Amino acid sequence: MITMPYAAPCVAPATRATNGATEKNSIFLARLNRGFSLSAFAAALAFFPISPASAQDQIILPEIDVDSVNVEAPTISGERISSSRIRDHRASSSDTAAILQSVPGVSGFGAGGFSTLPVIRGLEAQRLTVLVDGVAIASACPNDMNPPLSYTDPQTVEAIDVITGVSPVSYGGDSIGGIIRVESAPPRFAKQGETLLTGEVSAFYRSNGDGFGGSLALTAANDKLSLTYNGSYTQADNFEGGGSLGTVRSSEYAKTDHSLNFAAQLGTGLLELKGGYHSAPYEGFPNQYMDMTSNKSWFLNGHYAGIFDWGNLDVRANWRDTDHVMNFLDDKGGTATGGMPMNTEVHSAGYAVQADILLGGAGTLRLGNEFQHQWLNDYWPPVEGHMMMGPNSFINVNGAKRDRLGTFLEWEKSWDRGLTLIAGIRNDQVWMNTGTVSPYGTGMMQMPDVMAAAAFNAADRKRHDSNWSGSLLARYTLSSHAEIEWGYARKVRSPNIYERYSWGRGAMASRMIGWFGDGNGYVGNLALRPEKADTLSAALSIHGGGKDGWLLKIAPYYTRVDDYIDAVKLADFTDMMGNPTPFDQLQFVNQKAEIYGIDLSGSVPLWTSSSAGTARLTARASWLHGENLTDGGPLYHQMPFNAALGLEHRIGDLETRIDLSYVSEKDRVDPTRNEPQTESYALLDVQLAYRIDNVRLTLGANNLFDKAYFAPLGGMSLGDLKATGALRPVPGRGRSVNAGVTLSF
Amino acid sequence: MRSGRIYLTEGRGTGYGQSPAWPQRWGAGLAAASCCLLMLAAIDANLSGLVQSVPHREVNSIKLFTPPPVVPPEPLSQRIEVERPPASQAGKSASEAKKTRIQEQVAGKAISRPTTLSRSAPAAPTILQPSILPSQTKPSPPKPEVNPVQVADDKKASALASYQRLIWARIAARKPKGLHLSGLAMVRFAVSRDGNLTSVELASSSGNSALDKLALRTVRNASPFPAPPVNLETDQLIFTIPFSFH
Repeated sequence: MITMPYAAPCVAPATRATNGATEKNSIFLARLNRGFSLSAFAAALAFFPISPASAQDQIILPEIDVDSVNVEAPTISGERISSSRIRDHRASSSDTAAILQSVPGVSGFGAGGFSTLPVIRGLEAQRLTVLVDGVAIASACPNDMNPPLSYTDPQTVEAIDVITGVSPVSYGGDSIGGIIRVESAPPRFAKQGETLLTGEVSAFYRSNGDGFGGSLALTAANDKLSLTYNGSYTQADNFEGGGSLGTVRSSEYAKTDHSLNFAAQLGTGLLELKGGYHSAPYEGFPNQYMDMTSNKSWFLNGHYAGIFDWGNLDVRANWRDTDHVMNFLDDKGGTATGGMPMNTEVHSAGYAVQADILLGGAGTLRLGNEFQHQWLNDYWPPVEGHMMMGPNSFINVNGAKRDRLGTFLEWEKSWDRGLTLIAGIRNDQVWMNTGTVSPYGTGMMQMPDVMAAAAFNAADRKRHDSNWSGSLLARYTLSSHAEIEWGYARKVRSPNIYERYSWGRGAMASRMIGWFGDGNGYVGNLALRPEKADTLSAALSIHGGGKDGWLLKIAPYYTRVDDYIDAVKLADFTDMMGNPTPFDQLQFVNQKAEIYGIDLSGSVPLWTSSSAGTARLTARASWLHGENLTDGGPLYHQMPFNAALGLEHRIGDLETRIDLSYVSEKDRVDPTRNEPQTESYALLDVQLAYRIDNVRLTLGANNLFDKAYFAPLGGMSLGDLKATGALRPVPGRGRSVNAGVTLSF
Repeated sequence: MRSGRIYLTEGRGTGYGQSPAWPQRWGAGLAAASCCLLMLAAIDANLSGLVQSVPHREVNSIKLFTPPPVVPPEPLSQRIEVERPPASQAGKSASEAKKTRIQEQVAGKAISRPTTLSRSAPAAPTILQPSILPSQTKPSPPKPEVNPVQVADDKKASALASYQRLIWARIAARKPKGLHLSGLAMVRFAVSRDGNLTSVELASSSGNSALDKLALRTVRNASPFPAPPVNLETDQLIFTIPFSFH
């Protein structure tokens, strides 16, 4: 890394010339190699001769190395998934949420091919803070088919921070669980007087489902301005389940994302303007009654990061419009006879301001304020000639708005003894309202919806919540080999639009609501109160041997949620003949829940030699127990015990990874949701990566032994049910041989 | 009509988690917040008291290898640890070290500027020896017993070295996050007898004003420093610290 344009050429000769110097010299030169340059001293002394008044020894301290590339997560409970780790997954997955599952404590419910909903320590997507480039993306679908991570592509993601434990209140409000922060590559600038033209092209192919895709990144910059284009495309057909489980219907997808990022260096900091377009022409959902037949989204984000004498100022403004359309793909009957169109439109806009004020010896004070506006319209056009779906549009959500004003105050201080404390309080004001609704029509078959609409329209639908949150996080360095972190947080989240304002009571209308992949129908509840979670988490990190040494992390936690939004049964669903089906109509209600568990992870270097390369063993394991304290049963979608063992080997330009993952049997299931039990299984993945100059080639196989299995949180295979009449959980993906190539220039 | 009302009453009063009325909620929130702040202030006061005693101890001691309070960047410490000079070398006088350093600069650097160096000869820099940098990977060995007949100069040198390390560690502990920009900014600052920062300025710019500001404010934010050792007869100590951003 060149640290000073005019000093750089001097460093190398200096290093060479003194190679045979004394031991002490070599220590010093070792420092030189890290960017500290003698000519910098010379230059400094030449340009700023010491005044006679202070004619005394000037002491030059060793340099402070300020790295922009973070490799560490902001807290011990959590991980930062670096660009190199994401690169390893590019060829094997187009689903950012699937990549997160390599972090202990993180799992995900199956959904569409790029829409997996992340779960952190038993709390799912809607309860987490998910930020893409610092901005939250409002949900725009009754089935949550377009969650924030579906707008990201592993091909263009730079890094992801995952905080599984207690997080500071400045990281976001209106959530009770962990934090996921996705970052795209920061803008690059050229050195003074130069121009920079750089980029990367990548492509991949996956044998299972004939998936393929590619991406392009281009940057043009001088030392003050930078323009970056990022684009990606990916598509796949239905995938094959492992063993003899056959094709999983309704699992195909296609999407493309494009963004343009303009950045400028100002005297006081950095200004960024980023706009983009996302289009997904189709995405099958094997565990939903509907498929996504179009999702288009446009966004514009502005960001200013200022550096001042008093501290930092960070200002963001965001705008996004989404048009989302659901209907049936071919496996579910197609749209030749009209299908069942369902349209959702969302406008969202907001700002966030944060000031980090340096208080010298008293630490840092963070003040922040944000406002997020969400407007949502959801209507289902009539289907010509269909008795149930006509003659009018079904107005599912009529111009609902959800506005949130969040304010926080946070204080951070580090003591020289190795203690760091972060304490903060936060208030989120949430205002929600929605217009009157109406069913398809007023026929006999539509009576449940007619009555429900009348009741809903008569009710007061305006809601206001004032949610107080607070968190306290302490980190203590016990010794140079051990750190401990302890955190307590009370966090509050208001119900989302669909939890509060879904009103349909007819079998079909309620089956259209829910992001749980369980085949049940859901009815909203105007009486829902915000969820309040008290979380205690701790993490002990023991390490030795430096950056490439060994590491062990032990992270237990306990969460108790008051007014946890769960579901109770309203009615059995019956088929046309009046016979019972495996599904029920459920309604969202506030209950009490607790979740506790422990995450373990570690790694140890195995060997390092010039002939045998370097090898490293990694391991992780997670266990948790989630219980609904109101009905005494297990919570829905809780991952059973799971563990993974990985072997990484590197010799020359060849990297090899072998990953063995194990998931135990899921026998604690939620009876309310008719959750299926699943068997234990183990999967083996291998990958080889080879670099020749600026080309990186990868070849790998997922589920090498083509093991047949059902993922515990995969949901029920409704796409198959429609075609075969047999109900089964969604099969796990069978063997896929993946190849990828990346060219940097 | 009626069912709507029923929904509402359910929401506001009945059931397990009764939510209190508006003023109560705000009151409770404010009370909790002030309690929190009070508690934090108390902790802060206590811990600061504890920390302040540390520098005094350091000043009086002549130990060069006190374990550091702050963890420095990893690769750096590894090197130092391996090549730590023997205890006897530790007492080397400052002037001797200075001389060696200048020679290194002249001899070791192909493009060195002798004129520059000689011009600033009266204020030739004393480069903090890497050996006094804190080590991370291993706690430092017990401090060597000091020979009672050692001269005052040695004491002074080691006290100064120890103080330099303290200053460096304090600044390093407050180092900012990078801005994804490269540059080397040198900050020169003066510390008075009581540890106050009397001046801070840019000795050389990184070429980017944001990086320069970041470097300057990091030093400012680390002050006031602990008072320098009493046996140093200077009115103020002048330090230069490079910030390497990348």
